[in-house]
Amino acid sequence: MRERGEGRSVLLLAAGFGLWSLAFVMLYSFQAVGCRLGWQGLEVMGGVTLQRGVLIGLFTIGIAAHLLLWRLLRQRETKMARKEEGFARIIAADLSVAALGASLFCFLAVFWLSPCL
Amino acid sequence: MMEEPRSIALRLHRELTEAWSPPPGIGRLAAINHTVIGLRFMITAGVFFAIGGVLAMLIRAQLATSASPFMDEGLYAQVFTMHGTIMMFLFAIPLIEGFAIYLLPKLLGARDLAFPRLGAYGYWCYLFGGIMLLAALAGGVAPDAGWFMYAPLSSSTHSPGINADVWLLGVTFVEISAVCAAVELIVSILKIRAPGMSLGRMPIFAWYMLVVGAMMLFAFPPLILGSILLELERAFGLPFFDPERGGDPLLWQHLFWLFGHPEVYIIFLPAAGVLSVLIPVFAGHPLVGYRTVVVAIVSMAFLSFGLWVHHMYMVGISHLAMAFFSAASALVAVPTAIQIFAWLATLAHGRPRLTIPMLYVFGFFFVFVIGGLTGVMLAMMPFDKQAHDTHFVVAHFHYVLIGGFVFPMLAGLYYWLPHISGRFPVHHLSKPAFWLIFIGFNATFLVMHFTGLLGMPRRVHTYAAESGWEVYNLISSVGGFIMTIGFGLVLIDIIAQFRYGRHFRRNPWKAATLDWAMPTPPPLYNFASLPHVDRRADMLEPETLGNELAAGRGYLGFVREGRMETLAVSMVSGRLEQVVQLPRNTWLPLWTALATSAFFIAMLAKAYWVLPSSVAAVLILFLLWTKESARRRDTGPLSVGLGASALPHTESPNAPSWWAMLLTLAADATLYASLIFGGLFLWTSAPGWPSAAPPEMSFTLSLLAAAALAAAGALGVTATRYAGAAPLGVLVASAIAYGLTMLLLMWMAFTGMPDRTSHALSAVCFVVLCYVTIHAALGAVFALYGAWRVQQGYVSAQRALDLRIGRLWHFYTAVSGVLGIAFVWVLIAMGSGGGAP
Repeated sequence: MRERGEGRSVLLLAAGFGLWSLAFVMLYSFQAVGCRLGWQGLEVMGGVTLQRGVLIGLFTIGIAAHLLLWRLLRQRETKMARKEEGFARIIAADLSVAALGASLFCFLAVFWLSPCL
Repeated sequence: MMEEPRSIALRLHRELTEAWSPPPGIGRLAAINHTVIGLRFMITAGVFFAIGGVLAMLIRAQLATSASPFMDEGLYAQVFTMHGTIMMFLFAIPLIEGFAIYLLPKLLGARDLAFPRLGAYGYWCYLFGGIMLLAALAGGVAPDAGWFMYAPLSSSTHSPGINADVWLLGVTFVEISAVCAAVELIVSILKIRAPGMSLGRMPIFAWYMLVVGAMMLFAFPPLILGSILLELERAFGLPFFDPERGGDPLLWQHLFWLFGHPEVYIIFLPAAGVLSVLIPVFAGHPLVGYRTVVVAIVSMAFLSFGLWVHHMYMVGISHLAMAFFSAASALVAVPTAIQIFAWLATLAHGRPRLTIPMLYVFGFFFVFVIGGLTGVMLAMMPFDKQAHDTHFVVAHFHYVLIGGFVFPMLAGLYYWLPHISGRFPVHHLSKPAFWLIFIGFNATFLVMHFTGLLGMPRRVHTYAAESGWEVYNLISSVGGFIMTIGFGLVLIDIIAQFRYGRHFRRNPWKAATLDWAMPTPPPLYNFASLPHVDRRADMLEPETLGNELAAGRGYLGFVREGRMETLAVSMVSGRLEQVVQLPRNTWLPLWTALATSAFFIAMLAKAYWVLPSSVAAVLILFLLWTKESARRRDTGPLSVGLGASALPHTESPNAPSWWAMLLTLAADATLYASLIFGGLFLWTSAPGWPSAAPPEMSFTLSLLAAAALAAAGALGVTATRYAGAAPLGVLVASAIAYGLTMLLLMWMAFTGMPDRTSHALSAVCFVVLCYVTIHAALGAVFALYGAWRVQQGYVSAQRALDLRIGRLWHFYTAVSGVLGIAFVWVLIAMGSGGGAP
């Protein structure tokens, strides 16, 4: 149904920063849970603790998801023939880029800052 | 003989007025039209602003010198708490709601919002909740633990009276109004627009309000949950915030600021929307960077949810977590700056006219930029540690809130007052009023930065003469009174405009938006016929368009069977989709709000025996709302003029009420997620875990309850497929399964955790089970109601809206319920064996 497609376009407006929010929640949660379970004391390899490893893994997955979303939206944007509907897709693509930048800026500190102190 | 355009317009006006007018006299209280409700919101918010202002003057009189205190610390605490509470909950948010309710249909080319009765209900909830708070102030039992009501100060141990209960119940009551408004605004903006108005053609103010509506939908539930939990702790001893019984006061701070920080942007963004409307009009140039501004406001909305912990830097948070929140706090300045540069670029490209609204716009630029910069300072941990809880913070947030909200709203007031009054201002008092406010404000709060840097803490009712703060406080107090005189002049100016303002022809400011393409003051139906929008809706010609629409040369240029109608479109492309048949004026919203207030008053008075009857009354009254949409036959497409036709909304698969239910469930899910977060937060952070006496739940009963709930939900969902055939039995079976679920869950909640007051683990599990039970009970109501509608012949394959709305509820209840039961098991496992570090 066409309305469903349009509903999807509206939802896509929130996709970029929705992903940013999800990354935020996951990182903040795992930071707290890891500290609660003592992951900061478990070294997995080369001086990297389990806590740091998990957070870096989540960060990497988040950035990869952002890039994937951006690529998907760019493709859809070019396919969109109708101008009225194209506007929502263009905005969604712009927002996905902004969200990628926000994720890099907000979460990059997982590489060096102390997670539990 | 062809009828003259003028006589057509007059005839149409008479017919529409007859259809849209509420009964005279006291019958006006039954009015549900958006213009009436919007104005009621704004006027009531203005009254609360005046009351909050008087309280501010009491504060400034108290602090003027070290020798002037006339209130003891108890009364002073009530006064500053009520000042903050009134300004945030009873002035700012309701003013925004009223403003948007009044304006949006006019800007979107519609005759009303999607759910006029919901708007009216929201207004009455707001009014009654506000009166409850004011009555407490008059009775000397007003809230006194600060507008953020921090636990444990607000717990029953430290605040034993009803003061904190008044806040928790009164504010929650008022928040119902905000959530109603959020649903109504989002659905209206997405669906109730003029045909042809795609998302990319919407006036920029609609984009702002769409984003604000979404923010309200997700920001208010955490606070509603927090208030419920704190009230449960105070009234029934469930220890969510008591560290001695596995609770944690920090949970309150998290829940409060999850709401509290987005709240600042919920207040700022509508005001920014006003600026984005006004500046292009007075610059004579379309808004520069429309698309970029849309991107900026959506970004800002999300970012504002990711920085709540910057209010909690001092409570002990790890470096990494602080980095997340500090970075997000700094980052939110970027979309703010984008908007400011867009406005400056618009001014630079046009030929600005220095009118009274523009004076306030320039006042905004000056004040808000300072507030924004001190905000960036406070977002940085090292500085925040120095300035925390001092008057520097008070000065900062007044610069942000008065600069970012009051100045733009005053600009908007002067801009749209001719629209409301039908008269153009004479401006004799407007300029002195502006300068008094501007000078008074800066004298008060610029100086307050220095008072704070000298170390004066917030919320103290007096200070020593040798502190060195006296001269700064005196200047602030004098400035405060100057500002108040300015606001007094604004009030006189408004009255003068209504009394002495001159009449004008259409569109006095030479705007290019639809709100000026109607008579002023506006008739209740807004447009005699609805426009087709073929370009961006802030680049129109209201003069020409207004005459065309008045002569009925648009959509719906007639009255069908005395009904009130408007059009709905597809969300993105703006394609004509439905005829929305609006409800008639009714007393039901008022009665429903009165029944709701009975619930809150009974809670406050601890008259718990009244609660079941008040809940039943609210439920029955809400069910009565649905009488209006009952149809026993399919209508099929209706003509809307201009050779077009559309289905009535009751027969459309994409009716606004379906979207409203979806959004309501989104808000509900946010509250639920906050509850789950609360449980997990206590497990990770609260002292006193694991619990010495964890709850004991029967695994078999849990499985049975989950299975019954899943079956009930599945039956409810499936019933939609048989619409028009024989879903009656399926729906009744669904209701029976819900009943069984409720019995099992209540049994588990009351027998499995008898000591729910002894530890937060049991309390959280108990509340989760109660949440699921309440949803199951409502699921049974939805199922039985659906069965009744089917039995009465109100449902067919075409008219299946009731069942489709119910389907959403059944689906959500089943999924969230099964997850809830599983969560309780997981939390018990972790909370009884995890061991605290």
